[in-house]
Amino acid sequence: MTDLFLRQIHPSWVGESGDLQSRSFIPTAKDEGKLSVDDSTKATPESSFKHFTEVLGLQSAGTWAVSAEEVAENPELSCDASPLHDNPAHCSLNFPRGGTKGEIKNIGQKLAAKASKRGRLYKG
Amino acid sequence: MPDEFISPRFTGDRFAEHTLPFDVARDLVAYEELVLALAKYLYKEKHQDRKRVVRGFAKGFHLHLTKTEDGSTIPKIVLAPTAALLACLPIEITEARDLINEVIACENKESLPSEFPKEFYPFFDRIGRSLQDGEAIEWRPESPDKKAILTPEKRKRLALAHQETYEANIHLVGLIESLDREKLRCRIKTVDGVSVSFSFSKQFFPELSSALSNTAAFAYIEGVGEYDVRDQLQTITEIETIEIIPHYPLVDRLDKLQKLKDGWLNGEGVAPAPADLDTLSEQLAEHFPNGLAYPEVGLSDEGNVILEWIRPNVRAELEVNFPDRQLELYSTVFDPEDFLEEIVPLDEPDCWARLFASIKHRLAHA
Repeated sequence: MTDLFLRQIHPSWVGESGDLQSRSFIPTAKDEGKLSVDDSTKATPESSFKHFTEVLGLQSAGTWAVSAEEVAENPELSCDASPLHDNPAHCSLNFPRGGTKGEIKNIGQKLAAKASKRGRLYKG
Repeated sequence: MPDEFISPRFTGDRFAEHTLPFDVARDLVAYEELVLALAKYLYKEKHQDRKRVVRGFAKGFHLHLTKTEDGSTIPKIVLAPTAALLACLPIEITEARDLINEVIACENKESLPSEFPKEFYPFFDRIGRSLQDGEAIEWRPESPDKKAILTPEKRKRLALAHQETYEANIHLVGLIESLDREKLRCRIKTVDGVSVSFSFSKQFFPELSSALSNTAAFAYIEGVGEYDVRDQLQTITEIETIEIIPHYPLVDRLDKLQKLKDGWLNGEGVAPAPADLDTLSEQLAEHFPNGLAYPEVGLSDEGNVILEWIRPNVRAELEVNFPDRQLELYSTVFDPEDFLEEIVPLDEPDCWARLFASIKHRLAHA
């Protein structure tokens, strides 16, 4: 099992204070409840950022992370290795199916707080 | 047909429509004043036996702005003397023009022309002051290597060539710290944390007075400021407009969302409707309580505005759900863990007051 789950954060979700907004750790509509992260045993904060920005051509303010322990503190969450052809480190944090918006917000706030406290691991 | 005197080219987005913004005209007025003053100076230098220039020197010298040329952004500034005056217009007028071009053409490492009197450099407090970042005036666009390009940076260098300060247009926002009605003096602390004192005319007293010692009333001032060589604002020398904007930092953050388009989130992400953002700005200006810290402002991928207060032990998200016309508060206290969810329809009269009260209560756990 990985130590850290690395996540790329869109610049819009980094607050003026540098804190991560909670929205940054909540799946979007297209994610279908699966939050994309990278396994830190297979990717570094730098390689994860470069894959996201240079290979996929997407915007990121940098790499943040939550630990496996922090994820485990949320029993509603499960995680799967879901390697992609161009990204073997890819994993999914699976938010509860049928969870209410409040339940999902609660998990997002806790994860964002942990990641924000840990700080940005790679800026680019 | 008037003789062409100079044909500067204005570059930058604002000039793409082949029109000149009105404030640029003021730069040109200052340019005309410099040409005339410098011409008189050059004349006196040549005729040191005379105590003053000849009577009527350069009489009839006026620069006129003709229409912008099609297909370019080159407004023609044209000398418009009568035929009779054209014959007797002093040569120093064109010498002054050429010397000014030489001064402007000087790059950083080059020495400024010694013939240009140092007391005339403050004209560059006004010539080019309207230029914004990325804009420039090419005074000799036809020249292959000496276009005499005036940029905001070049203007600042020239204005500071022989003085300790320079002037620049200001658009600043801050809180009014003190106000002296008798002396017509005011002190403002800008949102960047700079405190500046300045004089003002009586007409602005009511606005400034309404914002005095009010931590929610931000004064927005447009005018001219005096800066030192380190770009620190020293004072405000001219005020054109003062507007009081309640809760400016919050309103400003919402304004920034107006620029987002659909797809803002790496191809997904709905942009909120401008009318919804305008309404929200008005409601927050009216209902946001004094004393509550301003939140981070963000968007959900569905285009809902989220105001979020982030503290070490608590997070509170107030989501403005535009499609469902409701306010949604989601807040987690981390230790001891507690979660609050509160949904209030936007058409409920005290919806804002209720939720702001809840947020204040939650933040007490911070």
